[in-house]
Amino acid sequence: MLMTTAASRHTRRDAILWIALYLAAIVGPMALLLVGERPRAGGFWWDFALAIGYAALAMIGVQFALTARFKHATAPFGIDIVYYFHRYLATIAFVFVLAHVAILFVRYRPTVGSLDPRGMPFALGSGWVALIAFVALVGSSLFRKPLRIEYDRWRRWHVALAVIGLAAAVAHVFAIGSYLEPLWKAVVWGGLAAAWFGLVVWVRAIRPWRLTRDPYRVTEVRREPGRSWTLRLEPERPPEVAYRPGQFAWLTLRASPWAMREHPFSFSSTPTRPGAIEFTVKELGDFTRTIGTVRPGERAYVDAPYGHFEIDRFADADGLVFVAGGVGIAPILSMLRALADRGDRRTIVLFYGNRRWDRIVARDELDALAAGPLDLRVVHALTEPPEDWTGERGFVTLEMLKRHLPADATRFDYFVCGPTPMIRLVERSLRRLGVPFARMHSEIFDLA
Amino acid sequence: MREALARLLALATGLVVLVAAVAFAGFQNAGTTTAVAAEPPPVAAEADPARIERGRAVYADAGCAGCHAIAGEGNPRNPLDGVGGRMTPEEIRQYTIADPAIADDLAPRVAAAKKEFQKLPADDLDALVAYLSSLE
Repeated sequence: MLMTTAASRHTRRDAILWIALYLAAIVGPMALLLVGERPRAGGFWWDFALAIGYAALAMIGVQFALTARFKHATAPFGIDIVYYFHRYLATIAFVFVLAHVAILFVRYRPTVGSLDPRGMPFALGSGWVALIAFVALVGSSLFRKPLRIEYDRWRRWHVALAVIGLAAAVAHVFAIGSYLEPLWKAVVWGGLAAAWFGLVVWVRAIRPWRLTRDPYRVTEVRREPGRSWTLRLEPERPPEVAYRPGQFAWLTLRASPWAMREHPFSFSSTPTRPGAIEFTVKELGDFTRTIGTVRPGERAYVDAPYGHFEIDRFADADGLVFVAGGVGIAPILSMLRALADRGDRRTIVLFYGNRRWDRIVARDELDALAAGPLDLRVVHALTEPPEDWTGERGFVTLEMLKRHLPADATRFDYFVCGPTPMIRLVERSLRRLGVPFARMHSEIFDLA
Repeated sequence: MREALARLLALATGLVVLVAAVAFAGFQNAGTTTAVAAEPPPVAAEADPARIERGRAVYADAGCAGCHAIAGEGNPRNPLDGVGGRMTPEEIRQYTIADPAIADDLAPRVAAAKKEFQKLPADDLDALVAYLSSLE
């Protein structure tokens, strides 16, 4: 979350710093084009069309940094928000690309030349290739689900189209060469392009190579209620990755780290019990449906830790409220286990929404935690309760929260994990209860 | 809520970039008026109309409008309106093909692009020069 508690002023400062750096990375290279020797004026619309083209290219280049999962840069915001930012910015950059093409096409039609690819000069052809790649890139991303494109396939195409589009756009800019006339300007933009492609090499080649040096073995595959599984992994070269309760990892199973088949899963284990890590996963998509067929002994790769959905950043909270929907319990289990191991005696309320009583993950363990080490109250809410059910029914609503939260709960910190509509509903209810935005924490996993 | 925050941040960023691009174009054009002829320029009376027409076609086919404008059509940065009044036909020919005699006047990138026109058939080049010379 961007703005957190008073204790995290650093986070706010870092967030502002990174946004300033981002803007500098986009606007700076464009402004440089105006320094020193520059071409004759071409009229407002001509120079605007070219400037917006340059700006779009810089935005597209920096997109590679946004998804490079740099821990320092993503920490102040949460990596899920950075991915959302990536998605919205891509759309805006695409609109700028379209504006660039449209202005030139409408106002300066002869400069665009013939649309016949035969005999088209390289400078223009490369621009059209870039445009086609960006149309495919944005279209396949915004409409992946309606187009029924499988997630792993989409990711591979996404990277391929992004690299093709960027390479073609860079070639287009250098072949046309507007504003790049003094050599130093071409060198600066060439350096930028090299940095963008360097990010691709880092993320797709060097980081996977580093992961291969610390492989893990699956040691247990446990069936859980409600079509869920818990995978236990042990590092081949201990110790395991250092993480905090509630964080997540990009997990690769049955593939090499170069295969781009990693998927984000929350740790359900706690670092207070070292030696192994666990992920609790529900069969929801193409990949997770195969989790149950994983066998002990199989190799895995773990890129971690990521995420800011963690209690340790909010140690000053008077109490803690968790709201889980289904398998959204995984990171909350990690946090509850850690709290128990640390002997934390703060008041904790867990709202746990599920469809059916027999499909609740970790039900017995939660009972044991509530009866033993933790001051924990678990409120189960079922959307398909049994006939004799006397507990809460339906979604976690404002009224339900009111019924179970203590009076001073506005000074608690709230952690919500589950399907995106549930997160929205709970956050709206919490706002109405007077919980400050800074005390609500969530993580959105529907990134594709 | 977090999504909305990301959207707001992205929109604000987009707006900053848009304003920067507007400022860029404004700065680049500050104090200049781009003279764009509204009407096709007058054509010298003594020129052979068929030859000029041929030159006009060569101009279009060779993609000259990628870098030049005539009567507001094409790249406004390098208008050719009135070039026939400013340069002799021989100078026009030299600038068209980046002849070594004037190559020093051209930026290396421009010279490299113009050298491509040395490959034009001599007759086409003559017609092109005749057409450009007619723009007075």
